[in-house]
Amino acid sequence: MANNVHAQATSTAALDVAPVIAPGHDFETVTEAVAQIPLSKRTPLGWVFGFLAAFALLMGLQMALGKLLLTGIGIWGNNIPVAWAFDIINFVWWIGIGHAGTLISAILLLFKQQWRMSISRFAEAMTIFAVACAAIFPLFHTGRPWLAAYWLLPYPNTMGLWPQFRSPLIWDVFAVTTYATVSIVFWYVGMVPDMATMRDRAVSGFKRGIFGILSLGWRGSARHWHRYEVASLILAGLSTPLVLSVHTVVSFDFAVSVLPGWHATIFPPHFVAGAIYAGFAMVLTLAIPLRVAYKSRTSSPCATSTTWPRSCWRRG
Amino acid sequence: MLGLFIDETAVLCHWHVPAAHYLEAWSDARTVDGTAAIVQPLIQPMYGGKSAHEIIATLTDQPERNGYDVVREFWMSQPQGGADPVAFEKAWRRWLHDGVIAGTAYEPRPVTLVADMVGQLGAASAVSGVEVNFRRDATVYDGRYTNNGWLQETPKPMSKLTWDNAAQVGPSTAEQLGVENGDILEVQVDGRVLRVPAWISPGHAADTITITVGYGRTRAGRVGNGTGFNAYVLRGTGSLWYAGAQVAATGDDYQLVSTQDHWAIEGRNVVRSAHLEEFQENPAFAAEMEHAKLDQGITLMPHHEYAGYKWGMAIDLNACTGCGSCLVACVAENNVPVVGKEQVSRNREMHWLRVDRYYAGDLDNPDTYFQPLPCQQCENAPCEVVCPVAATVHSDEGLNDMVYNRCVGTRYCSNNCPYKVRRFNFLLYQDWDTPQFKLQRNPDVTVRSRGVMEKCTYCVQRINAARILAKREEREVRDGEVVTACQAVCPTEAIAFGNINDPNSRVARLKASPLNYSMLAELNVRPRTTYLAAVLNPNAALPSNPGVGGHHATTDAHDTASEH
Repeated sequence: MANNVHAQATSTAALDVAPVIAPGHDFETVTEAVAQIPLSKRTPLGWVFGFLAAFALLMGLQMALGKLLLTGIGIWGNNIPVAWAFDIINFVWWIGIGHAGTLISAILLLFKQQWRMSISRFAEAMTIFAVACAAIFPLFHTGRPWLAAYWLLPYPNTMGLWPQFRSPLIWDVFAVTTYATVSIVFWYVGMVPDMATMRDRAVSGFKRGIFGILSLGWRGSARHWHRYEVASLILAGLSTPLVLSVHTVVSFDFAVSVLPGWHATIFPPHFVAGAIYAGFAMVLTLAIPLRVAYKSRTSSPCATSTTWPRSCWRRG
Repeated sequence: MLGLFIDETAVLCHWHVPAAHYLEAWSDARTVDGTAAIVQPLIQPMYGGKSAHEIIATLTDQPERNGYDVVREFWMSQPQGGADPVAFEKAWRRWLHDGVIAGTAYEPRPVTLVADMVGQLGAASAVSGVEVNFRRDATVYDGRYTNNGWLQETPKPMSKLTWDNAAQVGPSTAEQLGVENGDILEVQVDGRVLRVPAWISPGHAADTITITVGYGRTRAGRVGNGTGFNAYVLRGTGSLWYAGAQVAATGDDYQLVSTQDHWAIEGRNVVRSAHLEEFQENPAFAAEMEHAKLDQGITLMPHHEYAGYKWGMAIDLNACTGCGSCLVACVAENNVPVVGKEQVSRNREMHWLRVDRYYAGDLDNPDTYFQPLPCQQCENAPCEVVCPVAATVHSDEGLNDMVYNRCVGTRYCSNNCPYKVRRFNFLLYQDWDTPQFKLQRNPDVTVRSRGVMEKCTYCVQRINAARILAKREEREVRDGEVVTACQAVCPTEAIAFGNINDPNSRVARLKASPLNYSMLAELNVRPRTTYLAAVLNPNAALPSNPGVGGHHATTDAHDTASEH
């Protein structure tokens, strides 16, 4: 991240825009402040508790899914005509949440907004985890997930059978996997210079090895930076329309049906707009506590206020 | 006591001997004209049961005789077989082959009509308070079928209640009592008390309640125990069929499960009818009652041409009495599981065919329409295009086939079904463990497990059986050769099935009737199941309701129908 900030900050100076880092910090101190968190040896006790809480929740999920697999989808209370309920609502919700990260990051990159650096990484990470959560539901909502896991994919098979390409659920599979793939690549490409920074600062050989593999041989040369900028722009350009297409296709699950109440042309824009609002809200939900938490631990190098969006917008 | 079940009577006896079912035992009987017949078992007794003949035989000097010996020895002593053992053996075999013993019919007796029988009956005595009527139940009869899951889950023709009986009251009486569906009433007859939930039945006479008997059994078995309310406790020898009662609301309620609203599609002219004069004036009234006119040029693609067989069904709403036999026959034919009251209350009953009941007109004197609703087997089936794994596909004869093995259970097909005729195995509804069920199931129909969708197939196994036979005999399948299970049992022949491509088939002729209409035709799904509108001929001297389905009557009909 620090190198990235460095590159962006150079152009910032040229454009004579207000600085996005707090007074008393330069790129060196920012990099140091960020890098010491993963590289410092002591894991904070709070992190351990947080991890345990998250792990307990994960085990809860596993138990719930295990019960679901053993008993059947009937335990979710859906029926006919409400054959989808809890499950597809959650799918749509998580996909919606997953909109904001990539959208914020990509659009702000295309519009050259410097302050995106303070939120883009975790917003993109949130997108990826949200899409992963979303993927649970269409799989486990089926009556036989062990077959749905691969029968919805188009692959040559001994049954000589392809999926039904006219089904919006197949469009869903393509839309969501495309979106997930592009989001992951976008997230990862953005991280490569920072991985290299970590590699260079890591003391133990093990950490250096891990970060070395993840940094893909990044050396920070001008050519590397050039390719990095081009790749980021291309990915941003690709993912922005995907943000619109993925929830449009999700809405087709409903809008393409023939039934009253389902067959509605308003659904695609309605879904996309709702998703963007929900996603932004989720970014705020994560950003505000994070900033409070890290302000207490470091000297808050990236901005001066815990209510960053307002201050950023004012400056921008 | 000799009984099939350890029921309420059996637990009061000191001894209980498991009886052989009549399909497990040798016996004899007389037909309606008196012809004697030998009853032959179809199967070895499954639970080691004994027949009445065998029990009586144990009391004689030859206690080891089995049912076969008892019956055979009796007929040996009769004159029909002849005294010679060889001749008897020949006659016996003949009887077993024919099923009856020829020449044993009774002589006819002369009978005369009793004139003025009705006059001799006299008026029924009036009762004080509210009149309680005791009726046999539409599904469990007098209680003998209470442990029958198929019948318990079959919705009652009018109330569509399953797994329970109720005190049926008319709308005005319900208002007086201040009760709604499921509110518990306390009914008192001569100090005998029954607490039973109310069910409002439009058209029910005022100031009376009707309770069906046969429910509330304690020893019916694992299916029937604890279902419903025992109306026998109110019945006395002085009040076998009706009694005066004090009825009061208690303020408690009870969950009654009625299936009528589970997949209601009313409000879209699904049921159409007219009075006779209107029909004579405009025979094509039913077709003109479309909810919205379909633009025939809506698609650029030509409709698929079906050469060969083109299976279709026509259901005559005039003929349907709403008895529900079709539903039970379908359950038996197609291995449809019983899911229980709790699952029915969640709209999860598995019946491939339902009989919708609509009230129209005045709530105190409504017209009642019944509409059997199997899969409509749409030519442009909306379920097929949305299945991501192509588990429901079209056959070249126009059947909307369900491939259970391919189904992963997304339920999208059901979501996109305008008629809501698809059923999903939300849980494991089939009983794989009870060995008797292996004998009970139809071997020609797949037993569906958890997580797959199922629906009416037009009894595709019967179509295939007829096709195989026809191919072997090198001919076409004849009209009437394929009889679906629902059609086979329909007492009024309201259901016709066959090849629409054959203009002389019964179904094709019915579909050519001006009364023929497609439900929800405006969706362009082109259903293969069509309906014949009802034509009413009410007595001009009595109040009557207008026909339904047209725009003039729609609102009234559906407002009242939506009461319950």
